[in-house]
Amino acid sequence: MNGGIRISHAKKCYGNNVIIPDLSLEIKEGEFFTLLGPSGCGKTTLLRMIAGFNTIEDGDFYFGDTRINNLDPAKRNIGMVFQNYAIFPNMSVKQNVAFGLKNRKLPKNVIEERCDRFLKIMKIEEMKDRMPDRLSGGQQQRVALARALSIEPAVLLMDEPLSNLDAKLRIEMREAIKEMQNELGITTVYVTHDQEEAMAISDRIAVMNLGVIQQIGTPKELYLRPRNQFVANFVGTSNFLYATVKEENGKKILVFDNGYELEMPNLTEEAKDGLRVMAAVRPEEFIIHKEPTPFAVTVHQSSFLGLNTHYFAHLDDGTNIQVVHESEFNDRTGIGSKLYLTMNAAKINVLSEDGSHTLIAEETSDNA
Amino acid sequence: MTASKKRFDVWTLISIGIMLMYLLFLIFPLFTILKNSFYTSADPSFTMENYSKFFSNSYYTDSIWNSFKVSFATMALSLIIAIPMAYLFTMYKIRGSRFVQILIVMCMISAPFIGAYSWILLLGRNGIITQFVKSVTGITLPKIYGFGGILLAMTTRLFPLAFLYIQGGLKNVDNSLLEASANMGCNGIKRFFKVVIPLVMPSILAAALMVFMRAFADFGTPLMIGEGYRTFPVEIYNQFVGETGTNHNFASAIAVIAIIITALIFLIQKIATSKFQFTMNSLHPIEKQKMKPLKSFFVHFFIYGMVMISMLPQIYLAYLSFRNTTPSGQSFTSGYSFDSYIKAYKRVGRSIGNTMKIGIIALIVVVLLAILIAYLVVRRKNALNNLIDVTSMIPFVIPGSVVGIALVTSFNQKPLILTATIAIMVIAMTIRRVPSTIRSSIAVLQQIPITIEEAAISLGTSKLKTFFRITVPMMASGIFAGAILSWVSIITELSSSIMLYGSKSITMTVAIYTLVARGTDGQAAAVATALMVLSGLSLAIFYSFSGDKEISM
Repeated sequence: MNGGIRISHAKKCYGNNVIIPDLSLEIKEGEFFTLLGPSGCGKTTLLRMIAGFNTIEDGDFYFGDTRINNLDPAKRNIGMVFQNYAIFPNMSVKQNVAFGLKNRKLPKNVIEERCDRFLKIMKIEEMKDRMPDRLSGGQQQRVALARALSIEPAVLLMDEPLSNLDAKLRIEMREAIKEMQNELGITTVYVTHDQEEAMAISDRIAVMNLGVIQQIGTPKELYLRPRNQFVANFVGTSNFLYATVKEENGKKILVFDNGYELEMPNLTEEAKDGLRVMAAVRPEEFIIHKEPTPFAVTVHQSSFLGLNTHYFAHLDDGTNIQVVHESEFNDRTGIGSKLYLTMNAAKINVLSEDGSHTLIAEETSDNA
Repeated sequence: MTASKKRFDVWTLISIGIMLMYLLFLIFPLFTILKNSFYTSADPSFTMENYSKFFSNSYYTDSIWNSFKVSFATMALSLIIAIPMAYLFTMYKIRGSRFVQILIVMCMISAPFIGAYSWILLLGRNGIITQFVKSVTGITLPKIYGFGGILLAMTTRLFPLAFLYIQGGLKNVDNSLLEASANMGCNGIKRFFKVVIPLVMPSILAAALMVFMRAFADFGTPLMIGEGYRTFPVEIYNQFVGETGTNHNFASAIAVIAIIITALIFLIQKIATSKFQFTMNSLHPIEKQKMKPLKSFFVHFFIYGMVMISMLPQIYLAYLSFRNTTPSGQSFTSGYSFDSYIKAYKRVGRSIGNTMKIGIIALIVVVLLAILIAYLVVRRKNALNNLIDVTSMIPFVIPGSVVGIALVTSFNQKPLILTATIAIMVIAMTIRRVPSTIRSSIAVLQQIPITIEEAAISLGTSKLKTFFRITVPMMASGIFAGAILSWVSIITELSSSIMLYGSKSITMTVAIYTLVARGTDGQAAAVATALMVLSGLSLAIFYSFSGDKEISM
């Protein structure tokens, strides 16, 4: 197959309940593509539509140039990895991995050779004769991966494969999956609700909410230039602050409600004088000053997390503000003390007042 | 949930095939008796005469009342025995508990009327105990025939069923619940009534329903030991094949009334159960404790006593089967031999082959149907499969004798004449056993995550192959246990086979019945013992395959 996966105007409903109203997206060949979103956003539904386990109410699904809407799931040439691993409990590790190969009626030596190869890639060759009930969760997931990959599928689909693992194993498996994908170059669609996992593993991510794609982009684009309030808050966290645009001598200045002013060189045409906007400021995009600034907040809680310290503070009008600062030994900020802040105009994002779209002008990211 | 929901595939064909089978072998026969009940043989027009005859005549209405009384009494007595017994079994260490458990199951799986028959031989007019007591003390024991005898025979056979249900319920009670209640000052007897009973209420209600239904539908026991105490199923039988002249239309009307009553009981139980809906996740099952010597004595006395009383009929029959008889076979003489076995084999030897043949074929069909239907109901929810689900449960509320009548009256004319064939026996057994096997298969299948099947499909397996290669093997162990129990109840079935058998399709239970009717007690005992051994062997196979697992409901 070549040309990746193309989905145009997909629709999914259960009875009168519309899960995905109208969704289009393209996944490039060899890409590691992640569907990211909160539970119930339709990401697993979409994945299962690609796999053929869910009906498609409307729209077209293509693998390369082949329309797969009505293709039997068994004939789509996909490898699938499930959240609960779905290892056949009545077969040994090796029988699990060989299962798909035997279905394809491949010659015995090919089956042997491929089994060994993928058991080796997933580093489980020494437990090939074990039964699944004697494997740990991580090992079971390796078997599931080896089994899905052994048929050399055109597409690998993974449905929250790491969510049943403990934190440490999750990171280890994450690296194993990424390494495997780099090595094989297989087009991969990955579903997760964990934004950190998505960013660590993906080439590109589609952030979904309520069955609608909010933004598609590289992890960097999503984090640094979120296109709306949902993305700004779901991928990492942001402080949302209201401000008014002021135009002066051809320059655009944000005037925050507490009087703080910040010149913004990268706003779109839409940001005219007097427009109310919403600034999305990440906790680490604040700069802390020793001497007073107009942006003063009062700290009511702080957490020391090693590399960084998180301050939970509020403005005089009660708005909560999160600030992250590199930890310093001599830091004397306690509860009740004031922090004087400014912002980095190149980093913060400005959205329309309702948070529905960005007012930052397009710029070419060097990694797009 | 699956992609193929709307597509026409092999499973759609299977659904349609199963539905057609149910239409032919269940709905059509039931419809036939319903239709027959509104006609009389003399008058070809629609009439309510059969029903008015039934309800205006206390001779008939008494039989309903009698059935109710005897079924409720059996249910109550079975629960009174089974609840404390299951509780003691779960709470305390009982010596030889595994042995006792097996004996309890043995009591349960004996053929329905054999117990009654043996009780007559023990406590009847010429019963050995009756004679013994009379010769020693001169006291005449109260007579066993009628209500008391039915109650005794049914309870000793059905309390084990209640015991297994309630024991299963108690296994799901978490030890911490008992500890918590003790911690709050509720212990011992008080805890038994305030905490334990409410927690196992769903199991108790399920047990009550099962016992009631079995007692209500039991035909062999009252026939054997009832003497003038007429119950419903016996009345149906008498009207159908009775010596006083048969009246199929009237028998049909009684059958319809019987179905309505059992369906009502079923609904009442469902409503009662819905009031006790809760889920428990038992992480720590109750730990068995050691008892103080005195308490231990009474507990063991109670448990072993109950089991011994229940086993007595079977043991006595086994003993009788080896005694010598007069050449006519109608009374016992001194000495022991295999004579009764040899004579019985000469007269009804083919019944052994028939029982095996009917049992094995029916079992295969039952298991296959149950697996297919469970798959359709769990994995392929749609209107047709819901209909199959409901239809397949109908036989649950239909007494066996009614199944028998329905099949006989429906398939006694062209194009399909099946009366007195092995085939009709297999159909009857299948219809009767399938509901419970479906329930257990559904429970097993619901435990298996659907993603395992999807994994197989995504690896390029066809749907049907996935089903046979992945789903069925995973269900196998759960189904196997149920299948053995189905097998045992098929080979010990009487109420529908007595309506359906012919000289070529006679089964062991029917053979015992006919031998009893001829008064050849030794031979009847011999066949009964052979049947008991067969059931016991099946049970042994169950235990050896299922390892340490116990039979649970």
